[in-house]
Formats: sequence, C-alpha cells, structure tokens
Amino acid sequence: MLKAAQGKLVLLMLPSIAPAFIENSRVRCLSALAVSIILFFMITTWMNRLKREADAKYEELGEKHLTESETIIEGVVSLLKEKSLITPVLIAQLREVIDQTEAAALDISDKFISIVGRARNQSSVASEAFQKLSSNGSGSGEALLDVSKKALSGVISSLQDAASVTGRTLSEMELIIRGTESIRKIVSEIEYIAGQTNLLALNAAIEAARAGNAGRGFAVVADEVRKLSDRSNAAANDIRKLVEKVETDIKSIHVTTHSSVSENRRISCEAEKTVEQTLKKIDTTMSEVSAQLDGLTGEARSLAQDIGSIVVSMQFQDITRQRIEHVIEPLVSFKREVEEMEQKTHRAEDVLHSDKASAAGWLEKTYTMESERAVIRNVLGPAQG
Amino acid sequence: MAKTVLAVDDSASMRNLVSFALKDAGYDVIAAMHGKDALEKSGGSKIDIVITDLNMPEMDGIEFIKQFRSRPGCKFTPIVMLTTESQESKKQEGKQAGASGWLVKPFTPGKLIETVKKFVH
Repeated sequence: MLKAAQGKLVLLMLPSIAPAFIENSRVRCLSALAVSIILFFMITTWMNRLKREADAKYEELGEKHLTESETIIEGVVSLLKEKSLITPVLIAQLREVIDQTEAAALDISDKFISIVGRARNQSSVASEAFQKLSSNGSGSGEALLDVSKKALSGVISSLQDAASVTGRTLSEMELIIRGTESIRKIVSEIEYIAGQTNLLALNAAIEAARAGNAGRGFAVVADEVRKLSDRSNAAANDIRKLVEKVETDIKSIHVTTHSSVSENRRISCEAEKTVEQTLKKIDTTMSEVSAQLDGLTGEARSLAQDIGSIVVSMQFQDITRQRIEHVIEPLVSFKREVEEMEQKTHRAEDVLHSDKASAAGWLEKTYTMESERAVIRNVLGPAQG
Repeated sequence: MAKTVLAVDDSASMRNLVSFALKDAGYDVIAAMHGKDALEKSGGSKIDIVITDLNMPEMDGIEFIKQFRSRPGCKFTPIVMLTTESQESKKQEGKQAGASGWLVKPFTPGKLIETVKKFVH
C-alpha cells in the first residue's frame, strides 16, 4: 500500500517538477522523470529508515515491558512460593504450641491432683494419729489425756493414802510409847511391893528367930516370902528392861517412820505438782496439735477448693487452644489459596510468553524484508510453535 | 449407689480436672476423648448424665449428641454441653440435636456440680 501511494504521488508531481527553462517537452518530461525517480528513491529510503527506527523503538519498548512483566511475575511467583512454604511451617508451629501447652496443662493437672491427694492423705493420717493419741484406743471415746489424768491422780491418791496410813501408825506408836510409860509405873509399883514384901519377910524372919523353936516354921514361910519378893523384883526388872527395849525400838521406828512420812509427803506433793504440770503441758500440747491438725485439715480442704480456680485456669488453656485452632483453619485455607494463586500466576506467565510469541508473529507479518524478520528472531528468539 | 457421668472432652487436662471434680463430689466418671470414643466406652454402661465438649476431632459434640440420643434407653438422659461458644446459634444447634442444657467455659467445679445436680437428683 505504501509503495502504491508513493507511485501515485510521483506521477501527480511529475509535470510540475520539470524545470521551466526546458522548452522541449520530451526533454522536460525526461528530466522530470529523472528528478522524480531520484526523489522517489530519496523518499523511499527516508521512509524506510523512519519505519526501521520506529520498529526498533517498538521492539525495544516491547522487550522492555516484557522483561519488566516477567520480572514482576517472577517476583510474585517467588513470593507466593515462599509464602506457601512458610504457611505450613506456621501451621506446624501452632500445632506444636497446642501440643506443648496441652501436655504442660495435663502435667499440671496431674501434679495438682496428686498434691491434693497427698495433702488429704497427710491430713487423714495426722487426724487418725491424733484420734489415737486423744483416745485410749479402745474406741470408747475416752481421751488418753483423761486416762492419764486418772491414772496419775490414782498414783498420787495412793501415795497420799500410804502417807495417811503411816501417819496413823505413828499415832498408834505414840500411844504404845505412852503405854510403856504406864507399864514402867506398874513395874515400879511391883518393885515397891516386892521391896516391902522383902522387908516384911525380913521382919517375919527376925520375929521367928526370936520365937525360937516355935517360930521355926514361920521362919520357913518368911524365907519363902522373901524368895518370892526377890523373884518379883527380878521379874519387874526384866519387865522394865523389856519395856525400855520396846520403847527404844518403837521410838527408833517412830523417828524413821516419821522421817519417811515427811519424805513421802514431800515426794507426793512434788509428784502431784509435777503431774499437774505435766498434764497441763499435755493438755496445752494436745490443744496445739489439735489446732495444727485443724489447720492442716483446713489447708487440705482449701487446697481442694483451689481446684476450682485451677479448673477455671485450665479452661483458658482449652479456650486458647480452640482460638489457635481457629487461627490454623484460615491459615490452611490461606495456604490453599496461595497455591491456587501460584498456579494461576504460572498460567499468566505462560500467557505472557504466548503474548510475546504472538507479538513476534504480528511483527513478522508486518515486516516485508528478510532482514527485518531476522531482527525479530535475534531479539525474541525463534518463533514458538 | 453413685451416679455415672460420661465426660467427653478432647482436652486431656480438662478431662482430668472435670473427672477429678466429679469424683470428688461422689460421682462415677467415664471419660472419653471425643464423640466416637464416648459412644464406644458408654456402650454397656448405664449413664445418668452426659457432659460433652462441642469442638472435638473424630466426632464433634453435635454429632455425638444425635447418635447418643438415637440409642435405646438414652432418649431422656440429660446431656450438658460444655462450650466456649456462647452464641445462641450454637446452643440452638445443640438443643436441636438433643442437648438438655449447656455450661459455658470457663466454669468452676462448683458450677459444674451444681449443674449436674440440677439434672441428676
């Protein structure tokens, strides 16, 4: 078309371009033809050059845009690939977080339940021990402390009874000692009677002697009376000695017993005080132990109540787990979408390449010269398909 | 005789603590990790009440409730849903499946026992 237009233009211009000084019309025509031919070649050459320059620019721009698009698409593809690789890692990380927190929560709950169990067991053992301590173990419910109090009070009472009995014995001994005094007086009386009898016997013997033969029988009687007096006196002496011996012995026993009773009373008194103090101490200790036991039981109960807050806290772990799962779900969906997008982008790149091929085809159709087609092949490579 | 509670939750720690709280209150507990497990474990036992989570793998709470309800003798067994979902739609879904009530997480053991006692006299 271009060449046809160029031909028409030259033919129209031909008569007007002949120099006016040439009068010969043939010469004028020839010269005009020559000028026209020269002009035609000049214009054709100029237009071809312009066209080549325009094509080169177009090719350059096309190539530039293609390269830029390819770079962008490659970047997008690379980004999508990267994201599609990262997403499963994120999902795996979140799942591991769920597993780890779940394992930790399970461990905590196990340990807590174990602690509560042990605390309850300890409380139960302590309570049982206290129960045994505070009762006599027979199950009658009588407190060991009361049993101890009764037993110790019994001991003290026995000691006091013994002291009382000994006291009565001392009184009786004193009565005996006073009795020996009476015996001694009686013995003195016997001795006096024996002495007087002896004196009477002596007088009787003197009177018998004075009577001579008539008093001989009376003298025998008087002698026998004197003998009896002597024997009475000797018996009284024996009794006195015996009574003195008894009195000495009883007094000795009295002193010893008296001292023993005082010592027993002192010991009994001290024992009573010690027992009272001990019982008070036991009482105080039992109260303290009871209070501590109550505290222990309370702690165990409170620990069991703490399970309430633990259960609530654990549910937050469960709630968090579900929330993480809710994050994972869209991440999985996102991964799928990224993969789909990656595939679509690949297809877009193929289309771009096919566009590149079609652009090359269009240019090739436009160009008329083999040299022009060679330029396309050099720039865009061999034609596809 | 102690009442039997079927406790279904995919969280092991929750199963542990819920079981502890229920046992502490004097109930016998059968613990299961999801709906399928619960159906298997409760097959031969008389269940007095079911406490179930909703979001679980293998078989979720809603499907479990439907299948449990379809069992002979389980038509009137109380079923309490344990859920983090407080939305009315989720509750309605559970009720339509056959749940008797719900307990929104987090709850205290006291609240759990109170709810169980409300259904099991």
